[in-house]
Amino acid sequence: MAANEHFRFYIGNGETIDQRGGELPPPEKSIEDNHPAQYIAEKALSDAVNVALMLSQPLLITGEPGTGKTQLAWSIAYELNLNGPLVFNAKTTSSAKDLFYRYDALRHFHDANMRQEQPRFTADDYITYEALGLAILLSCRPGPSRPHLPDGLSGRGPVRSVVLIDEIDKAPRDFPNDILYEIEEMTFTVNETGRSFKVDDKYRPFVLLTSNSEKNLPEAFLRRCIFYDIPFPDKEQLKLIVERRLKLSEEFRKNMLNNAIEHFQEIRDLLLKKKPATAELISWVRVLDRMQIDVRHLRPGQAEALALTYSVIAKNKDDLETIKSTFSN
Amino acid sequence: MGDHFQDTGLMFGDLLEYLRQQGFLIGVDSHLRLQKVLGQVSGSCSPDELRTLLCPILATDKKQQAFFYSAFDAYLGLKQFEAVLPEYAELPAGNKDVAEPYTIPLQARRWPYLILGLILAVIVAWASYYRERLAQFTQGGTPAPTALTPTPTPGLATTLTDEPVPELIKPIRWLALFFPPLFLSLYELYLYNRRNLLLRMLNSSHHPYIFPIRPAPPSNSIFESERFYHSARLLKHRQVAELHSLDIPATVNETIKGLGYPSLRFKRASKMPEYLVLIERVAYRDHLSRFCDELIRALEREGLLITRYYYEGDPRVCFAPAPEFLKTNPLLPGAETGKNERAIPLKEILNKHEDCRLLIFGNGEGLVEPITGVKAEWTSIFDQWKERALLTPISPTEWASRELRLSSQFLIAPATLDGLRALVDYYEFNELIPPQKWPRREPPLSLDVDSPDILTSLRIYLGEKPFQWLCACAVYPVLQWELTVYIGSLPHLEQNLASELNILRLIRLPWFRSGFIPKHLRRLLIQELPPEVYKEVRAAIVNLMNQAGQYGEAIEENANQLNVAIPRSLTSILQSSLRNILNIRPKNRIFRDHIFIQFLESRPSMLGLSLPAGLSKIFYPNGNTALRMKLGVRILLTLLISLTVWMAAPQIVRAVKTEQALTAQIITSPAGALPSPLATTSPTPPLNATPSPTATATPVNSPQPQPSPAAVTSTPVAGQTPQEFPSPTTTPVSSEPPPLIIITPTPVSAGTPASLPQPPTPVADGGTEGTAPPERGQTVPLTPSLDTRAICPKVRIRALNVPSFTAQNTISYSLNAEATGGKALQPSRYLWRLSNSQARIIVGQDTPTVSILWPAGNKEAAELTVRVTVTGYNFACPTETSWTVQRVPATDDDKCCASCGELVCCANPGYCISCGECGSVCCNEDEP
Repeated sequence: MAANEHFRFYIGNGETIDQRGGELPPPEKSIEDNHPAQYIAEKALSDAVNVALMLSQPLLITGEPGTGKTQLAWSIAYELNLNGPLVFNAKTTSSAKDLFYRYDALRHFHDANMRQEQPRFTADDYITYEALGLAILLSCRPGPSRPHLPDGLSGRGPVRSVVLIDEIDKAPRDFPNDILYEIEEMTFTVNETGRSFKVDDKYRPFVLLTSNSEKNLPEAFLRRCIFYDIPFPDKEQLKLIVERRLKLSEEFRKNMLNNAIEHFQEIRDLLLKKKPATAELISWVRVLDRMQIDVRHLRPGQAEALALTYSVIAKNKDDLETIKSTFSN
Repeated sequence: MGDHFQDTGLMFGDLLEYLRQQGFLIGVDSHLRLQKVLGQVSGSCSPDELRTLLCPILATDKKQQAFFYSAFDAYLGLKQFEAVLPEYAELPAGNKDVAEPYTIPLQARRWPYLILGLILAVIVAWASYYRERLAQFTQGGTPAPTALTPTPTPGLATTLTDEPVPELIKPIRWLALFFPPLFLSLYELYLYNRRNLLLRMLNSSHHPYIFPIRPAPPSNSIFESERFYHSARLLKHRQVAELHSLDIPATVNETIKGLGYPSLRFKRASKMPEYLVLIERVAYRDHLSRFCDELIRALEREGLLITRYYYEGDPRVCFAPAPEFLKTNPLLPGAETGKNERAIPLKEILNKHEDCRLLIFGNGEGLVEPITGVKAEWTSIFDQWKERALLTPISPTEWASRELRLSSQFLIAPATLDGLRALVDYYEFNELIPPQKWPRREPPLSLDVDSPDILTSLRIYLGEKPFQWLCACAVYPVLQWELTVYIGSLPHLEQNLASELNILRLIRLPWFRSGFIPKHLRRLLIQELPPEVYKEVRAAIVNLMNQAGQYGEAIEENANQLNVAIPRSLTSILQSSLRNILNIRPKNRIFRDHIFIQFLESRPSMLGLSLPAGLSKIFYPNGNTALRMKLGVRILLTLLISLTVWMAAPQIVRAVKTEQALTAQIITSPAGALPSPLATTSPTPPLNATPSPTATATPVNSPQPQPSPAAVTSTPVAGQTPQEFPSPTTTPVSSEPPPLIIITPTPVSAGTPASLPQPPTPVADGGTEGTAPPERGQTVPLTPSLDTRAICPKVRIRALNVPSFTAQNTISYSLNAEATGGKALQPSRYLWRLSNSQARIIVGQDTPTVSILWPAGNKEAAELTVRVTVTGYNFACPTETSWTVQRVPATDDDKCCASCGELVCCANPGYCISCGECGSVCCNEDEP
């Protein structure tokens, strides 16, 4: 196996790895360290978070995919010692009620019909509290008035939580409009039981919403949010992010990382259908590190290997062709 | 505070007000949140840090975030600027970029103007010096070597005064050689600086400041009608969603009915209908596109969920609309090309908005094959949308095979309120009107632009009042939607003219799609406009420009098509530009709107054309008179000026001399004391003496007894009488440097014999002193002589400073006249502005001195004729008037010639004059 082909584990010729005398390494995490302590927020972003905390209003974050919108929730919870984050992933079928709880009517119906000999089940038993509902309940002291919470949370409280409503623009148009009042007052009612819950203002949850700007959000909703758009990091920030997230070899970090990031920025400047983001950069640098490729000083045979690595960056055929044809020389 | 950042009394209140006008969602809650943040961070962060603290409160998307940063920088820059320069404290916002480098660039840029000022000061000093020298020269600098000039000859005097002094010509020619090129160089330097600023502006990555010129939105929206509201209400009806959920009551009921056997019932959720709108746009000022846009906006205001895109011909590539606050002046780079709009493939739009109702506003031309006319294959992509409609701006009257073919795929309806109603019927009741069944009420539009009957055709098609609207739209050089609607609401036009029907008829004309009416047609249309309407439209447009920025309260989001933009980069360079930004008064700070400038600066011509295209191309770059002349033309003009001054140097010297003489005479004109030798000598030459130095007589015992050649040559020809003056051509002229018109007094030396006879004393009752004019306030009617179209003014001689009595043969006078309107005619200036044209006043044939011809046989009176000619570019209005001047009778103070007994008045002490009859000399030996 050639020196620069130590990553070729699968050949596709029917010869087993044992026959070739190789060994499949253990799987690696795509990112060595995803700990929130490694998250780097620029000053403007931290200011936006502080303003949202100051005003007790939801923070709406937009930005290119991979710029760390979702990770921000973990970072906030970590740095502020808050509970969570409690995540709600918005879907095209999400409704406002889903943000607080889900009622399993079918199971309740089933149990009511099929298990009639057992003790009666109340609707409370079939309600699962979702992110914001959980956060509101956790702001109250545990007690008989508080419904039963899932394991791990039942005895907790009162605590202040971070609630992440991810990709809110995927939800139907009615969704943001329907949660206006609830998100402002931090209160909700379980229709099936008729019980209402209100947040303890001392432990008001911090709500973080992310959006990919695929749809315009209603003005009334936007007025109630603190907004920040995360710009794509510059070279120095990218370098810092990569160094924190990856355990790179010393030689690569010292001599090749700068070149790799510069080349990555050149690729981003191309007219691509989907521009690579930070996540793609991290993966790509990881591959370059493993293959010890210096994109500015290619050794013999490395040009082909570099072209292969572009698959990590490009997300469709046209973009891959564009990158390859641009940097083939 | 200026208009831009209006002081509202709250901290950052002016900034928020400005942002609100730019489309930010600013309400009371924004102020409250901002004050709360400020209250918590006060003192703990610098003003710079507030930038990132306040932005999250106010911005709601990425572009607003970027805009806020720039606006905040500008705002903060002003505050810092005010702190640094207290004298500008009253000025409003500025730019952070300009806050720091104020002083250095400004000082650095001042040096050309300081140098220019210095040069001007040197020129003035130099001119004053030479003027003084000239005065000295004319008064006494030139020696008068002649002893006697017995025969006064006016012709000789005139000839002598016409001769320039060579010593003066040389410096004037040096001036001509150096100063015009010097001024040209400075001017070019100035232009170079301006060009650099422009280049910086173009290369700047900052958006320019934009000051919208927005017509006040019409009080009634075009679509404000019951039909519209009804349609909008029905278009909002919730539709069935794909989502199914368990219908618990129905399930329970069914289960009970089934005796406990589970029977699940589901229900479909409902959702607000969402609309995807693709609007065809032929050109940036396409009125039909704007009409559709307005319709969509009106629906949005009614709460419909609409996503808009534009396309230009082919909907496979669409453009997302740029945010309103980033829309720039149509004249700015990028606006016409849609630089601020992001191109999006239709496939991508499909992925995002597949569950929407598709509405295409366009004529559908891009959906069919251009040659065969059949539906294009790629249009199958539209089948992905379940509900799709094509709303065409073309009148149903003109629908043809294209609409029929497309009706197999789309619901075809006109882009009108009727079309909306058809949509509602389709969505709600599934009723479909086929294209061929649409009522065809509109008259067909068939126009031949080159036809002489075009106006008649338009009048028939539009109707009388809408036709006037069209004519009024032709007043402004380009067609813009807001302006068109605004003009339609002017009082001189019919009320409620801007109705849906009229607007549609108007904007279906081809020029409203391209945004321009051909010039020849504009001219024709404007001629059709009644004068009072034309005036009102023109005044309304100018008024609209002047009121720019005052409609901040009532701005419609999209009504900023007439923006005036001021580049930010200018603010960081020039203090004056900074002031512009700070003052934010677009009406006097318009840099970029060439159409506006051209419109305002246009002469009272219908189309604002000032030069034929051929000439314009010679003198101006690309024939554009709004630009400066070409460099070559400027250099040529400079050389011409130099050459002209060089050639005219003798005339200039003569003119200066004449003015000197005139000035001197005016000074001495009041009766009474003679304060200086200059004043005493020039205007009061003795009888029979010319005012030329040749008439100057030195004392008999002068130390310069030798007569000069001039004195010899100026001796009168034998046999000539004083009454028969020789013509100037026949007057012998000395070859010496000619003397000037004013006589330098030659004081009587101390050794003057006391036995000489005493000169006569001055005439007390006028005599040589110019007193009251003979006729004051006399109106002299002028008759056109060259051009009968010229209207000549009436010139009123307010004061003619001619003595009514004189003892001289030659008198000086000054003219003080005024024309109708009270504008004084200044003889010493010769230029006079009359009714916007320049007229030249020629007084007494360019000389203020006239000779009196004493009639033979009557030596007591003579008639003085004064000609006044008012000349313009194409006319000349001459007139003349006469006064009778009486000869001064002999008094005791006068001296009689000892030789012949002729009356000789030698009133001036220290002077000698010669007798006109016999040539003998009479001297007044009194001390001057």
